[in-house]
Amino acid sequence: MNGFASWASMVWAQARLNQTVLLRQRGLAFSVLLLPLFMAFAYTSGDAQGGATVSGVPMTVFAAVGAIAVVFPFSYMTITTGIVVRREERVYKRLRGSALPTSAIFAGDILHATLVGAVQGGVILAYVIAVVGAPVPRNIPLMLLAFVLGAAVFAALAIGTSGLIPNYEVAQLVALPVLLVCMFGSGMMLPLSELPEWGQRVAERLPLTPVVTMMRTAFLGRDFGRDGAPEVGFLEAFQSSAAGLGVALLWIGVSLWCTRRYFRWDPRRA
Amino acid sequence: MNTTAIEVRDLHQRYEDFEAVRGVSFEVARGELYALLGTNGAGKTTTLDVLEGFRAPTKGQVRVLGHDPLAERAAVRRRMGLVLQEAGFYKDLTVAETVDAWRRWTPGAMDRRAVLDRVGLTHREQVRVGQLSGGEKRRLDLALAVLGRPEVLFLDEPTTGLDPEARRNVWALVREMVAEGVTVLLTTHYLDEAEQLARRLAIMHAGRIVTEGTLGAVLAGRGTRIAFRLPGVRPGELPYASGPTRRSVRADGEAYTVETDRPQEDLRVLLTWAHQRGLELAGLEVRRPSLEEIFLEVAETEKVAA
Repeated sequence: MNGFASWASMVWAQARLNQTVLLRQRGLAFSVLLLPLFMAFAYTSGDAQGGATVSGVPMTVFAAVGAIAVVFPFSYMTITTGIVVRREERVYKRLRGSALPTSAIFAGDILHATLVGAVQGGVILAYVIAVVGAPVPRNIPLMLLAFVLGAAVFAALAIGTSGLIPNYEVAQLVALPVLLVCMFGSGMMLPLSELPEWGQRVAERLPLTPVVTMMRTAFLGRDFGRDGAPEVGFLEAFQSSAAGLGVALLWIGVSLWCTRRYFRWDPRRA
Repeated sequence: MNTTAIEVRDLHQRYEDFEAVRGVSFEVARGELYALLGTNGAGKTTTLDVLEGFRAPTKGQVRVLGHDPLAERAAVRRRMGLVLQEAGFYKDLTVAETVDAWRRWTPGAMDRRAVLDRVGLTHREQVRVGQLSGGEKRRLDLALAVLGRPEVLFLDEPTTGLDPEARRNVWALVREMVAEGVTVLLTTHYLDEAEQLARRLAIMHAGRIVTEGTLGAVLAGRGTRIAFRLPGVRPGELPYASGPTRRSVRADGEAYTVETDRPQEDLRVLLTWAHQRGLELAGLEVRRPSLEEIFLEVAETEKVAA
């Protein structure tokens, strides 16, 4: 087996193991596997009759498309709790003593959380089109880019902040504000224009905001980053997402810095 | 081919303001079992940590199979097996699932059945790891360590906390590995363990090696012990001349230990003396010093020196 193939198979083995372990922890499995679906459904089954619109797009469709992004804060939760539990239970010590390269451990975590998110995203997407009546996504490459970007940002945040989280209980606690900030501050459910001026400035800089905006642009073919959400063409959609891409990359950069600074393989010594 | 499997040269390891290892050097030949003995805090685990590639030495150099275990991790990691003092398992997985998971990233791994047979855990295959006893967990530890048919095996206190039968099982397994040509570096604070398994050993204390060599060499130069109990007799009454001599007499209540390098002569003197007085030497034994005693001596000397 050549180097990459053997590395890839180790990554896959890690991802698979993570899933087996996750399924054994019933409470956590429910939270990270099913809760995002419930939230997305609950969220998009509001009153469609109200007829409210955001820049001409029905509110229900607007929110339903944003709801897909709910999978990312849950990926964050999957990865941080996984890291913290393995560190505190000293499983990392054992893993690192095996033939497994460190990169495969990280890559396995990211792959696992991303695959879970992709399946959930797919289910929500299907629901949004079939039940909520959203149109078929306009710009699938940009949609995929937005998904990959979201997955990358939240995986990086998870690894970067795990060193600051002392144990499983705190990992669960931290996941909640992350989820709330993502839901209410990133334009997932509400258009950012509903927020006060200062709130909009803050929201624009949050890690999930560019991902949500990019997804909507890709899905609906309109630039929700601009007033009035004008229609944009295929390439223009990529162009209008560039600024958001910058914000997302900045968060990845901050996370990598935090990883260097705070990541720990072993529990803190008493 | 290089015949040295493990090489440690002037190793120093410092944690902030504490120097855990202060200049340790030793070599382990291929196929040899070498034991590092010492109490908690002697620096054994820290030494292993460096050899296993978990941390870089503060000073000095280590080589495992000719490679730097940290910088050239990829070259050695799959050729070593580790039993760590405090590594955890995924508690919710079964024994079989754990071994299967490990097999997926261990090149040239043994079959699950073969490895579990080897450590005697086959009957516990479907049990969750969290429900295993301490001895069984240690056996699973060993199973994962030998899974990839390692050339070098690091065993950090592999029998700590085990009952006597479980300890003997581990010893048997370790002997088998050595018989197959595996190099083993073992740390322990059980002296009988080193005596049972190791041909060469080092005694570590406060970050240094204080005695090193074959078992025979470590024992040689230390007198034979004549031990007995004799109530109502003062040490001065024994038939041994006082003053600086080739022997020492230690009394602990009514228990005496005579250390001598001429055991036959001193024993004869003692027996004649006791016979003439009609005294009964209770629990009389003549033996080589145990590692326990050497160990205590070393610790004593170090305390005096410090």
